[in-house]
Amino acid sequence: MSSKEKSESRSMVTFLIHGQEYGMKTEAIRSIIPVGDMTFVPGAPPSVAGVINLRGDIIPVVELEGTTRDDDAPWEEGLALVVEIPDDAEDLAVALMVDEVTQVDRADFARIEDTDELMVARDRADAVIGVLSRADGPLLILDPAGLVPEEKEVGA
Amino acid sequence: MDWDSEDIELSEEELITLVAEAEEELDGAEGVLLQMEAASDSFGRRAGDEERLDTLFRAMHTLKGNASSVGWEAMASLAHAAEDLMQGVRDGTIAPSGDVADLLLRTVDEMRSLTSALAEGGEMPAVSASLIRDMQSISDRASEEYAGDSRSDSDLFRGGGAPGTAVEGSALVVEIEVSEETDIPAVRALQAIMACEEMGSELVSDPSKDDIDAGAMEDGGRILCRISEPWERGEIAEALHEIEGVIHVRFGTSTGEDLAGESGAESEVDEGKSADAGIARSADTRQIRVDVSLMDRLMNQVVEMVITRNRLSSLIETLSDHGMRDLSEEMQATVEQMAGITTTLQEDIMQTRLVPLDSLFRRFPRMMRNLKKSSGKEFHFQTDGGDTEIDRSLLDAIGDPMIHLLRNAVDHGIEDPEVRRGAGKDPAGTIRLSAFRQENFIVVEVSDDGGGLDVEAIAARARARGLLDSDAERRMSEEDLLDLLFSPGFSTSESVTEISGRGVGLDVVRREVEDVNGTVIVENRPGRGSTFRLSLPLTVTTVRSLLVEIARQVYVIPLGSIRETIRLEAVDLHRTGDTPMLPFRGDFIPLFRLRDFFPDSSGAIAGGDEKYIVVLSMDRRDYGLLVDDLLGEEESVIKPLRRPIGNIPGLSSATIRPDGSVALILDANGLFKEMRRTARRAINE
Repeated sequence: MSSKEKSESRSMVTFLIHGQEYGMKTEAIRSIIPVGDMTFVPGAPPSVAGVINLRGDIIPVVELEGTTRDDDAPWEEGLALVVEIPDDAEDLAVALMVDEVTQVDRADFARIEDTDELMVARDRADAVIGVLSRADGPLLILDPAGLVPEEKEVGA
Repeated sequence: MDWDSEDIELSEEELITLVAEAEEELDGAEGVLLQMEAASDSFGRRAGDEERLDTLFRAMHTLKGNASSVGWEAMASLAHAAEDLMQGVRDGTIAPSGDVADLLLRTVDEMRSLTSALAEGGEMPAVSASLIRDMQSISDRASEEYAGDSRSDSDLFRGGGAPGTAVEGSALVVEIEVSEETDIPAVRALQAIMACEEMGSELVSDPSKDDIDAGAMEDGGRILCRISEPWERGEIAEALHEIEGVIHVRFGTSTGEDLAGESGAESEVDEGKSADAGIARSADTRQIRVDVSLMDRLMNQVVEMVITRNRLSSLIETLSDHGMRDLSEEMQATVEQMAGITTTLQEDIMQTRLVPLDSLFRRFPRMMRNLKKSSGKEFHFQTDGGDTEIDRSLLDAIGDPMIHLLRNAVDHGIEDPEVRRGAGKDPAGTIRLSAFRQENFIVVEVSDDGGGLDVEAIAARARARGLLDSDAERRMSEEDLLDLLFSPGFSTSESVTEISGRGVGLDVVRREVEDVNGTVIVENRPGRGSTFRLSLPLTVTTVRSLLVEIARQVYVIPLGSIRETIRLEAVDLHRTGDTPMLPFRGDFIPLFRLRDFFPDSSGAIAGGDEKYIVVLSMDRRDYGLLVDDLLGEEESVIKPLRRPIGNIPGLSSATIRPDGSVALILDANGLFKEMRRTARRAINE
């Protein structure tokens, strides 16, 4: 998604994960919830911290890949964005752990540039689809679909 | 004919009903045709054949009526030609030969593709004109040869003696009442008129078909039809009562021209047949079609109720802990009462979701017939236990795996006739599909009396595929080697044949079965065949289970896989290598910790205080799982673990506990397999 001539103003939620500020389009975010006790899932991908019960649905709690915490201690309590994942087959949602929600704002999505062009965040997760330059530093834009990689073949 | 599904204007509901009825009729017709083909030399003379022919004729008749009432010309023209042909067979003017059966089977195929095109709203495939022509030419030839009165032949053939009398040369007034309760009264009314048209000549009706098109029968009501040269009344009544929504049929005679004038005249009810038909009808109206998604919603709501009930019980325990004994006891009694109702409700709703496996099984004779033709192998196909009931979502889920296993049995199981003869066997093999209930499972088996599985060849192929090295092989039992068949990347077929299809292997079968918490294993009888056995859970939404605590977290183990629970301090363990062994029923079984199964997550599930052993049984053997505590039994509601978690061997799903937290449901089979795979990997490295 490189810069285009037309402007495309959309609502965006911005939040902090380990000091880096990220943004995601507001329409993908169902709610912001406190996450307390969660159930650890042995054998789950490393990005999955556990599962919680959200009004009768079992929702995986995920950490953004590439943002591994300094200590391996289980994550105690905090805030998560419940993000709806586009999927043809089923209703998918994950709770993305964040440190703090900074603001809800409008942003010009046409100004989002490829991360490569700015040489930032190369080691970041697949979910980062672009970057928005701002006066107070780059804002990394997350794509909800990137939070849930396609299912791998079992035993492959 | 240029024709598109969009040319038919139908509401969603009408479309669903039309497609469902067409599929039902086609299934019924196909079953009869296969029997006809198999026994063409004696067909028509065996007991029950008359009814079979009637079924077939009626299927074509209903298909034609339904199709023409909505202007579905392609289907109507096919059904019309097939009906004529069937009429001839029923009258005895056309022999029910294999060729006729084959022609009709091809017609059924064609009708199926028309039906699915209609259901999907796609473009209608062109109807094969040659098919219709072939059917017509047989019918025409027959009616030339037998220029007699085929109608009376038909009566004789059907046993005659019907209570109604043929009214020749005069007119008959039929009063038909269409219920407003039926989902599409206007369409039913049109069908009724068309059925009357079939039964005589020169029909006048009030309201007319145009009136009905203009909306006259939208809320049901009465139709009067005057039929000249009618068939006998019993047949008319029977045909009309076959139409959904027709609740009354009455007859009067007419000699005049004015239909309306006749209607007031005394009507005589055909006591014999229409009374019988009326009974059959009322039995039918006790059943209703329900959208599956509505049933799913009902089920979900009941499941939520079970969760709420469990939560209520646990809250009452808390009350009791806080010294409010009297109140909590009273509440406990009330909740128990409610629990009883919820359980009954849950069981009833579960019951509504059950369908006999026959609805899946009856698809297979046709497929097997085609496979027999294309493979050049000879075999008999038998099914057994089709009345075993299963949750309909499971039925959908095992369709593809069953097709695959049956194809496998033809492709790899049954030997060529010469080979069989050489081995002193009947040149024609037997493939058997059977189902039965066993404790908490529904078992579905595909077995053949072919050559069985070649364990050596399986091992060799696994080595070639890099799934196995000779070191590991030496340690593996025959069962383990057979299990390699289900490994991804393993396929016994040397080339991808049409029969086994697209190179999809048994690994996919296993995955699809495991997706619905079932298991699949293979039993080998060298030289005498093999059996693939699917075990499927009885229900898909809840499971009776034992709650256990492991490393400060609660896990759920389905009771179906538990043999026994044992206090750790009550036993003497032995040690083989690193694995502690438990003496159990005269044998030694290995003992594991949960973290042994999940080496990558072992840190997070360590540090418990083990006090109990839960002995789990898997397909063929038992093993023990060390747990910290036993927390009692419950009816656990199964919730899926979705992406990015997805399939984790050993964890089938999750449930919500009364306190709102999530507990994982362990899958005893999956755990053990994962363990063996990890071990195999370790040996290979």
